[in-house]
Amino acid sequence: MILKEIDVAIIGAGAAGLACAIKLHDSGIQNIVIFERNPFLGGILRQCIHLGFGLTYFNEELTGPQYADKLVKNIKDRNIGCRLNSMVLDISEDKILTVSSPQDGIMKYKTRTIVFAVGCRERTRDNIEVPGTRPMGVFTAGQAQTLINLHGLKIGQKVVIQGSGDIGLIMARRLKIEGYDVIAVLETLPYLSGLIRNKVQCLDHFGIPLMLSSRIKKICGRKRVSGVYVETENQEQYYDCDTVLFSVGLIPELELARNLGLNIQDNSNIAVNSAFEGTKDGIFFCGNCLHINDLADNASLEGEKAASFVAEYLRHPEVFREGLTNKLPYCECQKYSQYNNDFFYQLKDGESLVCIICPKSCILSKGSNPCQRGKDYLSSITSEGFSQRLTTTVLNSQEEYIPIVTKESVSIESFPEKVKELKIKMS
Amino acid sequence: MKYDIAVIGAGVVGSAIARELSKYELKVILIDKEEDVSEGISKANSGVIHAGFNVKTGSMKSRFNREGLALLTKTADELGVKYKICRKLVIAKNDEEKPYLLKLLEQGRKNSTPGLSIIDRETIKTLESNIEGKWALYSEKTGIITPFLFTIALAENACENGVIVKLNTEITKITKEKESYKLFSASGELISESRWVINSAGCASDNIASLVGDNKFKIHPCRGEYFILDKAHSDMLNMAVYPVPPADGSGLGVHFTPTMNGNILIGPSAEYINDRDDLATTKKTMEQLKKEAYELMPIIKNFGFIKSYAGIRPKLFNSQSNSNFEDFHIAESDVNPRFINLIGIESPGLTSSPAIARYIVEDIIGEKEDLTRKKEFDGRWKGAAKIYDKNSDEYLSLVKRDSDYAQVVCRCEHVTKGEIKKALNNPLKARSLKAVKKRTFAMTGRCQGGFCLSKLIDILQKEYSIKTDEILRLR
Repeated sequence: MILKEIDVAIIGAGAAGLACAIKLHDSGIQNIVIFERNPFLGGILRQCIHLGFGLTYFNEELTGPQYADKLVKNIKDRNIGCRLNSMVLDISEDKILTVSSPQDGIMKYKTRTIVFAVGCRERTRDNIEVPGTRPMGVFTAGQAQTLINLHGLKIGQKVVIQGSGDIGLIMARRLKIEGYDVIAVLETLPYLSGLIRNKVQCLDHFGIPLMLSSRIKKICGRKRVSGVYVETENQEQYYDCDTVLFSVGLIPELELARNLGLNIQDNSNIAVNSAFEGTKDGIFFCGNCLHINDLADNASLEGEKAASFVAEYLRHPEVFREGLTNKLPYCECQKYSQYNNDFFYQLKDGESLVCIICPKSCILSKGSNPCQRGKDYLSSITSEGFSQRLTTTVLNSQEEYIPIVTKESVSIESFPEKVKELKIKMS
Repeated sequence: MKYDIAVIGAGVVGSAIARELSKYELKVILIDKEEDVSEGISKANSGVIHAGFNVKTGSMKSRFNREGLALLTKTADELGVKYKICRKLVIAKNDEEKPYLLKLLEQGRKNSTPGLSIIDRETIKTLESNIEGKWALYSEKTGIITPFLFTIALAENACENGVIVKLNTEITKITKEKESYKLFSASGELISESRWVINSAGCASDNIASLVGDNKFKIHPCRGEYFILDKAHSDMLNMAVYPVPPADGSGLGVHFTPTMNGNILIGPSAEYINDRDDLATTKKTMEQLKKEAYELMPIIKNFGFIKSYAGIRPKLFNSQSNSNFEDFHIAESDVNPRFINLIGIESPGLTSSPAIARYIVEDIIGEKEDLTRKKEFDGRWKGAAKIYDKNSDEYLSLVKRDSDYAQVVCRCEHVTKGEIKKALNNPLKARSLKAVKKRTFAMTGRCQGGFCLSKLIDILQKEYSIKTDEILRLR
């Protein structure tokens, strides 16, 4: 019944899993298989058609699909085994994976080690207990991203977004580019929760209001959303809309790990040692199932780290755990410096600016001394006003929605025109 | 257009009646205003198979509950719908509440409810270690079933046996002819002409009765809100656990119920409302539910909720009424012959449904008509889509024949493309996301469709040519 004996089973072919596989292969461990439940490699990167990926990992600015393509090329070049459409249903105590796929049916793999790179899922409207009715038109931001970017669907027209996390901000811009009315992005906290770079590029440049200390109090509508009641510091207001997006945080996917009996803290964090190993022998974690990363680049770096630990484990199992601690120092370096919220308002009178070239989001002003890229950015702003490289999807002749990105920056005002032009050109 | 019998309302009662009628040589139509069956009261309730000690001795509720207890499990077995006799505790927090348990025990004995006893704190702990209580009434015969799946099975099996099911059809006019009734939809279309009409329209049953001039009924909608706990916590509870209920008769109190799908339900609240379609949940009630739930089961404070929702009880009384108990109204109308009203069928309506159906067909209709059994009646539900045991040989051989059964679409609930297609091929032709959800449990897990919604839309679009606008209700 066992199809194959392997050294490493990598579950998940996203930014972390693919990087892990490449690194393992390069370090001489080649009897590996990646299991991916989707019919494609790249995971969530495929639907993240916006720019902002790769600055750390590939040293150039890429869209999600471009970033994925680079990883996939490395996988293909090395001929690393990938099972697509393959869902790992169960893992036994002795590391036998039961995998379900349409091409193979129900199959078993015996492995020496497992790397979980299964990513995370989105917190839903129900997780944060938003009252009201349950009509069609309530989506998580990532769900909307899949529907719009990968399936080319029109999901509504007038949208309210709850949550100023990065996905919420990016979706606000994405919807605007696709011709939706984005009424506002609401944030429960009194400050922004995503990257400042994203707030500037996605909301400010497009004139989308950010309402802080605001939450949806009630969702209305029987079959389809008809509106929401929003509370802002004890004031309540009704907004007419047909769509509500929730971008209210990510939760590591730990269901398989839970079934395996691994320790999970606070129901959401996997307990690992400093080699990313869970509380059972030879089971490793990286990427967003280990902890939520701000950037895909960091998930890939984590995948590489996990690869080196797995290699060490396979080569020297007897000394592998010497000197390990239960602490995860790696996560701490990912925090960027905090910015004062007042800054957004200063931005409008032109005295200072957030640099949006990289996620560090440096503050640029007369007295500051930015890096070369920051200087370039500064000069581009003052002469031409707001402009960005435009990303969108177009339908090609094979009836597929493909992501595209312009080579040069385009002024924001000309976005609608440009989108139309691109869509016509491609079809 | 001409039928022997028209049934209005495809909830559990209407569907059970339609299936019972399909055992005979009769032309039957089952009509519902929604796009699928089981969209009202039968969709959102606790799904409890009641043992029968909660209802007033000598009432119709007591009779049908008692008869239904045996008949429901038999019917579910015939259809092939899973249920579980999970047992139940009614908890008294202190000695002051104990007399209520004794009263229930006494009522249960009078109602011939089997398997009842009073247990103490220690025994409670051995049965349910996470539950706090001093005394409990222990019921060995209480069970659970998925109410909407049971309803779907009844309606689809009725359809498989020749009943015409007409969905998306709201009856707004009824004319009384010499020997028959004509039913018209909102658009003025004549939907059916039949000798008999059965009004099992749930929350709208008073309105349907008044369409033929019978104005004496008034439904008081009483909303109940629920929470669903993440499946990760399913081993925290074995059986249904209830508090001593509020004295106003509004409901059975906020309780815990395991579901057949491995979740735990918390609820329902009880709140009289004016709008019988208002299924909104409210912050106030959500907080109240949590508070009451924490008292019974302190450990759930740390648990995650994956969903909240609300259902409606169709009550024949409210807080302004003189009484805090009204019986089911099940009778042929005294002003309209061959027009049967089923009104105020609230708890224990689900448990009672097969017994009510048998009573309607054998005792009311059978009294006036010569009924002939249909030889070819097959009580097995062929449309069952959900496969519970994916380790079974049956499932593995299915995978070998059809690779769609190895393609997992909904990861949280492990629903395959094969199951989804089977669900969409239902004989009622209910083809919507909701229809798939109720038949397979896709999108009901912890991500609530976050990952599989797009895949489901794809299947609906590509394999059934349903437009996105329709799927997403953009029209």
